[in-house]
Amino acid sequence: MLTKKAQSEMIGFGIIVVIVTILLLVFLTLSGNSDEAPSDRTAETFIQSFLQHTTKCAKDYYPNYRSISDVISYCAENRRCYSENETIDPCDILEEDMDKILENSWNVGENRPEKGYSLVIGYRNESVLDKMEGERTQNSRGSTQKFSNGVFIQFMLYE
Amino acid sequence: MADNVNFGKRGQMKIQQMAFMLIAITLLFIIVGLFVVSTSFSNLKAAKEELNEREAAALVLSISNYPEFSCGDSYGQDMPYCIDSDKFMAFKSVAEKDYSSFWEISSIEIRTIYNESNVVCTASNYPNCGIYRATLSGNQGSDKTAFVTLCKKESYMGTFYNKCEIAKLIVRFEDVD
Repeated sequence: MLTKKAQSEMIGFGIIVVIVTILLLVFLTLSGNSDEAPSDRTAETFIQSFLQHTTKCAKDYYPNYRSISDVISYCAENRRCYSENETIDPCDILEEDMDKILENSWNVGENRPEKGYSLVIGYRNESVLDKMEGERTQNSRGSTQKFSNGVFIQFMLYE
Repeated sequence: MADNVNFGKRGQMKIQQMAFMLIAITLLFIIVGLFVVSTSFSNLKAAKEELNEREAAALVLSISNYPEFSCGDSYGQDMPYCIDSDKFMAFKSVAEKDYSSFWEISSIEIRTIYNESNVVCTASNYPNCGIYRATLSGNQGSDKTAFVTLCKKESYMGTFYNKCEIAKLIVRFEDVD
């Protein structure tokens, strides 16, 4: 009786050890997998560099040309820009400049290392610009940045 | 006497059971440990390569902050990864003479992105060009790129203003034998 009790205690202890080991293995396996795309330095510098790009949008007077960072807020706030003696929509300038910058910066395609990219520009929780080119794949890297002036930018590269 | 013998045998049985259990637990932990170590080491080579890439990328970005050609406070605000094109043209003229053994870099090149051009900048065509190239030494190795902001002062009817554009910085490192 005492022997059987001891044996059952041993078996119980053994089962507990096996369960704990399995749980540990599962935890280790899951903690190694992350669905979040790691923040990419190239994407970070791309965002910070294009934000400083001087546009042809002048505010109030010439040559007070504003950067893309300012034009984003002008576009969201429906302000007007001065350019070549006429007022123009800052959203048009933003779209035109970003199209050119993206096209010249990234060569994406089926037979290229980068299959596609996406760019989302927002201002105080409103979407200002949304660009997508190429193919969206499972393998991605990029950067998401929020600025104190309310601008939000997410740029992702798909490989 | 018989009871003492029985208790002794029972005790031995319990000790044996405990010993077997401890051996089994130890073996289990060894197997788990081997699994964890093999998983870690299988990623080690990839992690090393990723670390090398990051170090090179960090070095490229730190180059954009070198006082020889970085914007500093010239443009009114502290802009990260900003290169002054006027300073770079001045640096370009002395790069090979004064900097060839200072850094392990064979060349530094900046290519404008918005107004793409294959014209290499020289003293005679600046700023109507698109490739700013400073050669430090003839040893060509691997290259790393990063995006930077290329700025210069321009004038409009006697007023100076900052003109900045996005550009690609390409740093070629010397081959290390």
